[in-house]
Amino acid sequence: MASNLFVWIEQEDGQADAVAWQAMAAARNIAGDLGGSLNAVVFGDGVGDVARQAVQVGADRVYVSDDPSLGRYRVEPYAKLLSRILETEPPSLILMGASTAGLELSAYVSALTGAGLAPDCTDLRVEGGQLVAVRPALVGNLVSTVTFKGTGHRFLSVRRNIFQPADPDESRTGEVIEVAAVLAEDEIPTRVESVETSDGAVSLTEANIIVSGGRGVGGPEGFQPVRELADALGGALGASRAAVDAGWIPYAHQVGQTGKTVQPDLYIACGISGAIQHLAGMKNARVIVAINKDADVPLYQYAHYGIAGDLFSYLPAIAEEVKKRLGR
Amino acid sequence: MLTPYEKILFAVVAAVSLYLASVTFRRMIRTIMRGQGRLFRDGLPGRVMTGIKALASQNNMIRNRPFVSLAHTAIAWGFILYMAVNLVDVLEGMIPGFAFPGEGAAGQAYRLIVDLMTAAALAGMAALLIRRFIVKSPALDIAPQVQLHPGAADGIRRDSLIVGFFILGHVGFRLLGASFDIAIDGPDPWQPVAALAAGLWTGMEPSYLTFGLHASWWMAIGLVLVFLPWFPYSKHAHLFMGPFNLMTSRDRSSPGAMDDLDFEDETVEQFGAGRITDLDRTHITDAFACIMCNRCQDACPAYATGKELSPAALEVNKRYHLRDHMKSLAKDGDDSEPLLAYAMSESALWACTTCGACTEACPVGNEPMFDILAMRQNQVLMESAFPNELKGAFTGIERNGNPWQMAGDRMEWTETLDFKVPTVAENPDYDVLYWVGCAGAFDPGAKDTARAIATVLHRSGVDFAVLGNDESCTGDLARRAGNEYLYSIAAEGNIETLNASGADRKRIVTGCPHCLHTLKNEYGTLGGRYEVMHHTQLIGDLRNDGKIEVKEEEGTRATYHDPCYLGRHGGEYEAPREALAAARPSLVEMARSRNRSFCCGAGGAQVWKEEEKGREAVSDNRFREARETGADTLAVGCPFCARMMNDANKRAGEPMRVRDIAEIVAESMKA
Repeated sequence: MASNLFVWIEQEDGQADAVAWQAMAAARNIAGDLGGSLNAVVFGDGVGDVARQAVQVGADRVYVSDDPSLGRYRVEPYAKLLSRILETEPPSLILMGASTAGLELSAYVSALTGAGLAPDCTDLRVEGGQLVAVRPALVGNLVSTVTFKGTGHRFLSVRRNIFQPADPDESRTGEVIEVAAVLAEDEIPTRVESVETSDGAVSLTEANIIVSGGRGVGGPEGFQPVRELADALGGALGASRAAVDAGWIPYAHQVGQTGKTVQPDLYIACGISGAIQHLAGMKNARVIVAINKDADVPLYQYAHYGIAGDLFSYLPAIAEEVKKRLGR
Repeated sequence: MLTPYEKILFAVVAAVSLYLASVTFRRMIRTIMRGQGRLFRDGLPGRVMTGIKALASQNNMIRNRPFVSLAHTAIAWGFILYMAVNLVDVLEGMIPGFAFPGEGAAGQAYRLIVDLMTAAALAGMAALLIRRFIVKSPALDIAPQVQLHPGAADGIRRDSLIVGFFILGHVGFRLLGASFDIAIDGPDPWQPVAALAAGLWTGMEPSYLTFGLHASWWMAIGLVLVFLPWFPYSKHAHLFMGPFNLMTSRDRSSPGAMDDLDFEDETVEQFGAGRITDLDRTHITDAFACIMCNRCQDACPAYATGKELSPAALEVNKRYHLRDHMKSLAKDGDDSEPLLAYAMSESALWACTTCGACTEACPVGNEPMFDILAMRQNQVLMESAFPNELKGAFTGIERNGNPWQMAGDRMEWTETLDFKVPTVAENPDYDVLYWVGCAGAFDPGAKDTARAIATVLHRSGVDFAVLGNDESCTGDLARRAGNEYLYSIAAEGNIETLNASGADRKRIVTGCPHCLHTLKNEYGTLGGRYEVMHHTQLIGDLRNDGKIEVKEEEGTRATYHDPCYLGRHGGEYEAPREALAAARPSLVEMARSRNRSFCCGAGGAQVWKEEEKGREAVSDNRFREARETGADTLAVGCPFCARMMNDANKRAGEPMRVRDIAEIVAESMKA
């Protein structure tokens, strides 16, 4: 039976969250097998660009609700609106990124509509017309494979940095359907007072690429080439506990057991020996590169690539090459 | 001696005093009984002996601060003696012609002893008052970063001053009374000090002397009657409650062994201690037993490094809070004030390394560490308010069986060995089960130690096995961090595995003192009774049996850092030293060693969180001490001590080598 797909495009200040395009790609992968249309849902205040981008990455139709009350994500108006859109739809598959908002919204709306929910999926496929989702359980020790029963809507959220987003195709066209907000501002029980971020740097836990420095950088000034490579790659700056304890860099940058637990696509560890305290926080990175003078350090056991050499000569060279290739 | 009017007055004053004392003492006991658990009475004769021995020998004190302890001994012995003296004096006053124990040799001895002890007690008290008020010993201060009850800052000084003068007055007037007696009745060579004082009254009229005698009697005895009802409100309840506390405390399988919580009992609404009445009775008693000497504070690694924690302040704060609320608590009144509002700050609560130095140092058997553990239980199990960093460790234990959330193979560390380490499945008839521990299995540094231990076992022909991937975190860190629920799950799982593997009929050896402590001293109450050894203990046995020979390496000096959970909590100080000395005969000791060893800073779940703010890291403090010995090798016997000392070593520019004794022995073993 054909089944339509809906993807909620999470955005902030008119900028889509990367995970939304990853969810879009995940939906597109299975849309053919399911034989339904691919729709995007965009809520916000001033989100015309996001709607157009949704078309460029594969949406046939985009449901857009552009209203000041939807400016910042709040679960109540978003959930009411999404369930209103889905009310008149035949049983569909609704995808979103497994971000904090996505996990909340998918759970909320699935409860409102009595639909099934598979959160935090890492793989989706269609077997015999039936959708099968793969979810890691018990922090990656087990993998569970789930499918849906019944005939209602089905909700899925996909883990960040798993699905490769499609390149935008500016020639694609699609239908844009305007939807009015369901709740008026005074009917919404919560209000966003302010949104604050700790600093302008890329958040460690959300970064695709992290470049970290450890005791081997030798001092606060030693973080300069590390930071430059992180900037060149558009990644975040991390640090080992040793470097933080030494006072070379603030605690906010600490990766490890007692700092941030990260799971980027690429983790470049510079002058980090790989104490278990550090490994505990970054061992699940997809690709680990170790740069260290000493090739005997424990981190090499976990690294996919290693550079046994002086980080101060390698880092600037790599940063320069990266800038050249990325045209920055 | 007393006139009939005086006798009537005494009877009235004594009756009032005893009545009021019965009210306040009952109030104190009822307040204690508001606590949880019980005051222990099993094996009562032994318990009474413990109290009497401590009181009579004063040996709990002498080991720290010898001179102050000597002054205390003079006062304490003086007071024990004065219990009899006061009774004799009252009888002498009330019964005409009563003289104890007569004029013979016994009487002479009695008078001489009382005379000399009176002088000693006066001198002791004067010395302590001078120390507090004139010399202003810094040992009596509590650093400003530590939270202190508003009543305590001035209260301690005032209380000390009042009681100091009470003791001087009580004992002093007794001495004056004896001197008037001599002035009236003629010289007594058996009371040299009183005779000296009697010289003051030379030429005084007999009626004045009689007045002086009566006045002194009334001051000496009257002061006791006035003070008696006040004792429970003064820190000097210590006089009675110190020995009482030693007699009624729990016998533990180790000084750090915690009690299990009952999660099956659905009527339990409170886990751990949120308020003072949630504490054990024995731990409420602690506050009454405490004389605020700060010996625990001296020993505390958190306090020594400028954290907000002082175990002494905890007892002081409890005491002043109890003083303010004793009347209502005794009448079943509610006490809604959380401990964290007055007993200590949150940072202090999470600064404790559970090293047990405070309980070791306390002369009256107080256990501040257990209050902290109970308060952590409340924070984790009731409030879900604990350092964020611990979440990862808890999740790891729960899901991965190790606190680092490592999903890997627990046998990977064996791959580089040139022999096979068999699992229990492969070698079910093993003699010794080697419990590797999470550190040994996953921590790159501790893996070296694990390989060294396995090498020693292999080369000395021990028939051993490991649990491999059936092994799981013992739950020590969860327990010390207040997550008793997680601990109980971890413990039950391991006990099932161990018993199924026959470990309850074999010996277990481990390189991790935290695992050792939990397996040996804490699993018993949950049905896991094991003979557990530290690897250095097994090395000792193997050397005695001639199974291994170690060659001495001269020209290198080692010092040894006692792990808290092997030393204070496990009572083992010699085996590691002997094993180490076999390979490194020139062993130099740090000033703080054995039962006075200073923690590395890792215990009590500290290694799983960021260190609380303070002046310096505990590990840096300890490492500095190790370095000052001039040794080139810092030998350890715990993977967490190794981790902390290694980090401190690197911060200091690697002036030393930090190595586990197992590695040193394995390297020096003769083929």
